[in-house]
Amino acid sequence: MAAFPTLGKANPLIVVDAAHGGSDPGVKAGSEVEKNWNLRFAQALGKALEDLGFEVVQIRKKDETIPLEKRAQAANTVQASAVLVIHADCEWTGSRSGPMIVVEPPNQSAESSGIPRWGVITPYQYRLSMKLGRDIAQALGVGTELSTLSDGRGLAGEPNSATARIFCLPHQSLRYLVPPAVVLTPLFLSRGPDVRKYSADEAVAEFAARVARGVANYLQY
Amino acid sequence: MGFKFTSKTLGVPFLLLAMAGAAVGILRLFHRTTPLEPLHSMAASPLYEAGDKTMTVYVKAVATEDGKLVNQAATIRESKDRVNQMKQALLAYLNGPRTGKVQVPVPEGTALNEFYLTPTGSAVADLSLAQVEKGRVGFYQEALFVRCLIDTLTGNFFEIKQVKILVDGQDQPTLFGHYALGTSEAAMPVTTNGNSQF
Repeated sequence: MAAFPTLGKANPLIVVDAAHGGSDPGVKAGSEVEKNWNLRFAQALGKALEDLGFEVVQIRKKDETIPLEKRAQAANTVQASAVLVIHADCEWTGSRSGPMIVVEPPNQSAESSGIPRWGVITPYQYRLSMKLGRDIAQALGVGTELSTLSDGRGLAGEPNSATARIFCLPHQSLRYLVPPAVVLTPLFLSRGPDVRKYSADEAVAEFAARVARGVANYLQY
Repeated sequence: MGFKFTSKTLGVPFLLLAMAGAAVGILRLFHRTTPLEPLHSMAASPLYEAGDKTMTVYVKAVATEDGKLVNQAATIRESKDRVNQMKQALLAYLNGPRTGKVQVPVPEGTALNEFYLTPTGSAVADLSLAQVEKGRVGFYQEALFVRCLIDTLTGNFFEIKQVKILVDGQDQPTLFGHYALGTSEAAMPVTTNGNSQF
């Protein structure tokens, strides 16, 4: 059943993926460009995870274009215990703030113990990803209930609220990942207080340290 | 004793070829003359007639203060054709308020190419996003946009069982690069109200 081995590993391996990059800037808000913020948070997160003793694979280490398939291939072939995709966000009202965590809903109805495949999110994988998301949310000090915007396949029976920070929704960056994975949105570039807060390196490092603690809790490491 | 090309030895393959050709011809004729059932009901133009009464539909929008989804009343004309009513409701959503306390999460420049309903209750919204500045639309807005579009259609018209979104007539993995759209009915995510988008 344990398709994602973590127990017995001396140093669990975590994949950190700074989304976008190179010719793909991601969202923009004024002079703020998503790809730069993603890389900044990914580097801080990598360091925080290494400080706790994890092995870390960074998918993107500089400002370069990496296709989605290459990212998934890199993440799926290293026996990772978890994948964290960093995506700053932007929205039109300027009222929404970070953090936000996205978990891919299951797209296979029956429980499966088969070989994990690209594009197939089993209920088992979903539960692992949701636990990862909740442990990170808890470490960040935000609620662990699901947003009411969440997909019905994940929402059924779960506590939810309109202001919750965890979203069970299909995300292009998660769809083809085999290990437990979440999209982590540290901030909204459209939200002034978010941008001001994380302009300081100390705030980014503190955020990263909390996320790393959440990952450690998830892996009981 | 050598093989000779005679009228007898050549006749058999020619006969076989002729029979195959005839079979293909019959099949093509059959294919051409078999009446096809209409696959979908397309919204017709004009969407309503001058004498049609008005009716209220509820467009799903976002309360900008807290991000909650709310119903915003909109008036459309009660066309005789339900598909025309559906298209009007969808247009009311796409052209909904973009200022004030309640706004639609529709990126500026989004347009509707076509709308139709299949016999199985799939509403198909074919969008044009060519005029949308994609760098301004992140995952959260994309998710809101899709959810409110689905809720606007399924919340007003019981005939709609699921909603499919196309871009310029084609399936696309995402609208603006983040929210993952499905590509087939088999992969439909189910929304909280039991309806689907794929």
